[in-house]
Amino acid sequence: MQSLYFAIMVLALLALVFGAILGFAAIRFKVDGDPIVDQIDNLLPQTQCGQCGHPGCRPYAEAIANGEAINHCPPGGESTIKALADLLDVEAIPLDAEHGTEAVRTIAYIREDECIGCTKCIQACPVDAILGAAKQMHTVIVDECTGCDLCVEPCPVDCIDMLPIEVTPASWHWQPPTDIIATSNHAHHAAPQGDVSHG
Amino acid sequence: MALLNLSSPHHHSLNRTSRLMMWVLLATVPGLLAQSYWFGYGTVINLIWACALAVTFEALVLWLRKRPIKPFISDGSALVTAFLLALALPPFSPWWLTLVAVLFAIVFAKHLYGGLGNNPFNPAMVGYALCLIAFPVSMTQWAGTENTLNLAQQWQWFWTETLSGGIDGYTQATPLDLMRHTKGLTLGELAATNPVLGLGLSASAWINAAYLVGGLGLLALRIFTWHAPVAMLASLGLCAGLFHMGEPDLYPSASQHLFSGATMLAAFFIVTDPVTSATSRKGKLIFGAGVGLLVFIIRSYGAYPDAFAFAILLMNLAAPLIDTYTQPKAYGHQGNKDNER
Amino acid sequence: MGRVWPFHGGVHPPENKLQSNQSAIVPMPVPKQLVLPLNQHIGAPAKCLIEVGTKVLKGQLIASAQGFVSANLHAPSSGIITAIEERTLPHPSALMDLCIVIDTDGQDQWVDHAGIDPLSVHKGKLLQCIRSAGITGMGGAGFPSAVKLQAKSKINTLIINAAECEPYITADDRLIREYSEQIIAGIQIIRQLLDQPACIIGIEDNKAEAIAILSQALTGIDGIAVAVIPTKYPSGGEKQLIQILTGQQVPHGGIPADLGLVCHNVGTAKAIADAVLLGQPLISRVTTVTGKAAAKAGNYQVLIGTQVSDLMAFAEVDLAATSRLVMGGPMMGFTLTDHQVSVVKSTNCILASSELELAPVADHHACIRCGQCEVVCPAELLPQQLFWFAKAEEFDKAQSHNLADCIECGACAWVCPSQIPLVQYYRFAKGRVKTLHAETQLAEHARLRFETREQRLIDEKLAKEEKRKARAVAAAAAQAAKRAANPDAEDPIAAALARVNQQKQAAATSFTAEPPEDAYKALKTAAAITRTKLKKSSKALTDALASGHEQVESLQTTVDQLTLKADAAKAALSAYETKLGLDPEHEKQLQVTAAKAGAVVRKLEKSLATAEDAAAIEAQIVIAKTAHATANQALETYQHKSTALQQQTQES
Repeated sequence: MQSLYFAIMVLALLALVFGAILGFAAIRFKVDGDPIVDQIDNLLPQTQCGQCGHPGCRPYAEAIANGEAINHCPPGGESTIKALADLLDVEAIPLDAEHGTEAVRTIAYIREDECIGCTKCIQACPVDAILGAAKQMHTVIVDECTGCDLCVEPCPVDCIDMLPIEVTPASWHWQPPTDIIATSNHAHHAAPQGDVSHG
Repeated sequence: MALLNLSSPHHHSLNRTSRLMMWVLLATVPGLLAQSYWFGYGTVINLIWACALAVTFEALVLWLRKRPIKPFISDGSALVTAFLLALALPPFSPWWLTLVAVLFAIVFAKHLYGGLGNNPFNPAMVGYALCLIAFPVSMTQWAGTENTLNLAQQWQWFWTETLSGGIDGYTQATPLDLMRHTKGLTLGELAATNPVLGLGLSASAWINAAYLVGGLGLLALRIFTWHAPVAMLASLGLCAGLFHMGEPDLYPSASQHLFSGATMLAAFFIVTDPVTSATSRKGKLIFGAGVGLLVFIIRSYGAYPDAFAFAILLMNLAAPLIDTYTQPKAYGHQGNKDNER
Repeated sequence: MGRVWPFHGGVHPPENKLQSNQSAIVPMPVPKQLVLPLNQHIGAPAKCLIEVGTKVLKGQLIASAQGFVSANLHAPSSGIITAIEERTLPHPSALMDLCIVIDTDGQDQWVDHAGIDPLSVHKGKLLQCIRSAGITGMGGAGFPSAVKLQAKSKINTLIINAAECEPYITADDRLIREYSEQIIAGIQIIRQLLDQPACIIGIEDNKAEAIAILSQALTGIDGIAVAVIPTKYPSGGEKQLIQILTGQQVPHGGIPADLGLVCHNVGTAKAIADAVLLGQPLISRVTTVTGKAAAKAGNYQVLIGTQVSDLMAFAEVDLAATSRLVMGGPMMGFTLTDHQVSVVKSTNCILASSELELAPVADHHACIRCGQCEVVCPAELLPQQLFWFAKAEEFDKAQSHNLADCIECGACAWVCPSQIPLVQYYRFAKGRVKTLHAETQLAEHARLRFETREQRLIDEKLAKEEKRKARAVAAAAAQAAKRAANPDAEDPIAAALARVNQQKQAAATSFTAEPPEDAYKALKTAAAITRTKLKKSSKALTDALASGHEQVESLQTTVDQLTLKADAAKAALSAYETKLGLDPEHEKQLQVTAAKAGAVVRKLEKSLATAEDAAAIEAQIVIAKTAHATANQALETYQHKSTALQQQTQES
């Protein structure tokens, strides 16, 4: 019987000691704020497009931290989902088509002669990338545009186009060889790009 | 003519995987001849059987995996695995033993991991280790050196595992076996009481020398770099030498270690397998040295006759880790400690 | 002869130089058309200075450098500018970019130009002369040379790259043999600009004749040494040559100038001599045309902007036999799929190879990690590991294995027994790393802008609130002051309460006390509500009648009452509308008219597309458009009027 008491006492003591250590650590090494939200936010593409159903990337980051699914971000696409899955140590799941599909990055262009100067797109732009004033022609600052699409809908005269970013010799780069596995077919690895014009 | 659109370089050396593999196969010939001279036709029969099996299994698995068969068969990697297995298995291996070893090597150790280039373990050694664990009796039936079977006898044994007159007169323990399993005697006493040991040792030495010649040929052709084999032989020799100096009665000498068992076969044909060893020069040194050390430990204290399969498989496990820590310094990084890893 | 150090790796591909280095450089006649891309160099594209139709003379400046790292562009021959348009670039992407097109007049008439004596002018003038000549590195990369001559740190050694390690190419070899005097003059000018550093000319030992001629020309000249280096590809890479000649490595992320070194190509030295001594800008270069498909393989003095097709025709290249057309060498050049592209300042070779000569790789096998790539890598990387990372798109790992230090020399892919296109994998990975980096920066920028905007919106809201409060305080103060001035006045709170009560009573008795707009809305709502109620009750009544319910009578009463109420509400509403001067019927009519007129216009426009007598229909359209405009105007006038009326009533 005595040994039983002894065991209980030892266990209780151990519990106290470890509890004290954990409690001390919790206070001593307390991390200010909620860095996980920042980390998630850093992985999101910051288009602020709202396709996830939140008014911006940070709100979605907060929602993810509170358990929302990580596959609601079409502009980020698979790579963002993969990065988020790595960060949160969860399984990478395919993009939720309900929120949109992954598309090439685009930039908004205003057909300037059709613009009536209503300022509605300026109010819609989450990153202040549209320049203009009431009854004056507006224009998009291309370098600031995230391609979020939010300015297209409010435009009363439908003069905003979302155009894919043009490939220039400076931004062009090689695609990977299509297949490493040996086959008898020569054609497929002869083409570094999809479309090769034979001169 | 339609102009090709390809990334540079546009010119290519005549170096081919199949050429590398062919040289490796050719380099085993001296060892094969020596082994056959001392132990009879068993190795040759085994070799032909293993090659046929390896190619068949390779083609079968490629077909199942819906991969092109011809280019992969022609790279010769299955044949190398078959050669290594046939040379490592005892000359008295019956047909089913070779079959199990080759099946396991090609199907499990190689293709289930994604085929050539993706296997973490040396396929031949996996097949060998499996047989060693599962069929210890068959795996330790080494042919005797003083009287060998003729071709007909060997053929009969290969298929039926029976021999008119019994097998006992033709098999014997290997020198390594003898040296370990007679620990009651000192090595000197052992050599004096057992004349077979002396003959066995000399046969072993001749065979190892033949493999050494083949290996040096590969080195001269730059099929592989010197780092792994030299590191392996050096570490094995050093360990053996040190212990022999301490207790010569218990531990065989460095030369006995280096020229017995499968030392040279392993050093030049198995440790140098590029797929499963470390990649950088420093990494290869560590890899080889690790194999040498493990071989010495297992030979001296382990329960198995030779240690290479286990030593190499263990170091295969460590290879990715070695790679992580032995990344060479790139051009322009000499003064930069951050990039050491 | 200087000492040479070894460098790691390297390969010995077949040299194939004899095909083209046996004959003298042949000047190619002026072609009919010259196409000059505005961006032939590393850095910002040049800015076009001329217009279509301008007549230009040989050597005339036609596009000027924009910014520090950029280069001028000159007309290579006299003629007329016929277009400034997008043409296919000599670039692996085969994309289009702006080019100046000159139709030559065959006169080849020089603009006024004169050389200067380098010893009698100061450095700034000399540098200006080189800069304005538009000289870029002639070895392949095309970096503006003047930038490298403006060293910020002290240069101890000038390295002249005459290694020409790529197989097939012999342009520098021939240049040295034929223009050694000019090359040495150019080197002396560079040395003068850099405060007389020692100079080493690095040249591979496979160019015995060039070495002999150079040594001969250098007798009696101090400070310039020839270092004969073993032939090994890529000894002509800038970093490798520096290691061979000095034993030093250019630090990662640094430039040779950090080590007190600067490296120029022999061709560049010759171009500098021409620019300074003769006043001739960079308008032509020596290009090797070689390969089995070229009948007259050799070196040609080619005007910049010459079409590759013209050059090939001059060198009698059999286009039908050409399988792979490479601009540059076989190790680092890029294939052209279109021979209608220009020879640019950095084009050192056109290699027209037959199918057997540079055979396409039949099969890529799996990587067996044989490590031969590692043995030959001059950057001392682990190419086999980089390959796995690039293939698996693990770009962060590739970066930590120093992907950025890869010089894309192709030695690894050349030696690979599995014939894997390793360089393409590295180029892909480098491109993706660059894109991802840019995307991260963009995202960070967007985040900042988003946050700034959010903050601004909050601030604006707060400021409004603040203003409102301030106004309230001011009003209270004014009130207080008023009360102080008039102490007899009743208690403000009681007064306010009384006012509220009064208002309530007024509201109860008559809706006119309410603000007119609200009243209008209220009336509308009341009418709508009663209508709905009536509908519901009517339906209930019909149901009840059908089923013979007992409460039919009471329901009937309710419906009657509701009908009365609804009528009353409607009457009240229309009365109010009349009072305001609004007439919904009239507005509707106007709208219909406008819409009809619009429809007519559209219909006419449609028929215009198919009709034959377009003029008549156009006239009709004009009429219809006028009608549409009139209708719209009427509608607008009416709407204005009603708004104005509403406002008036509100104000009253």
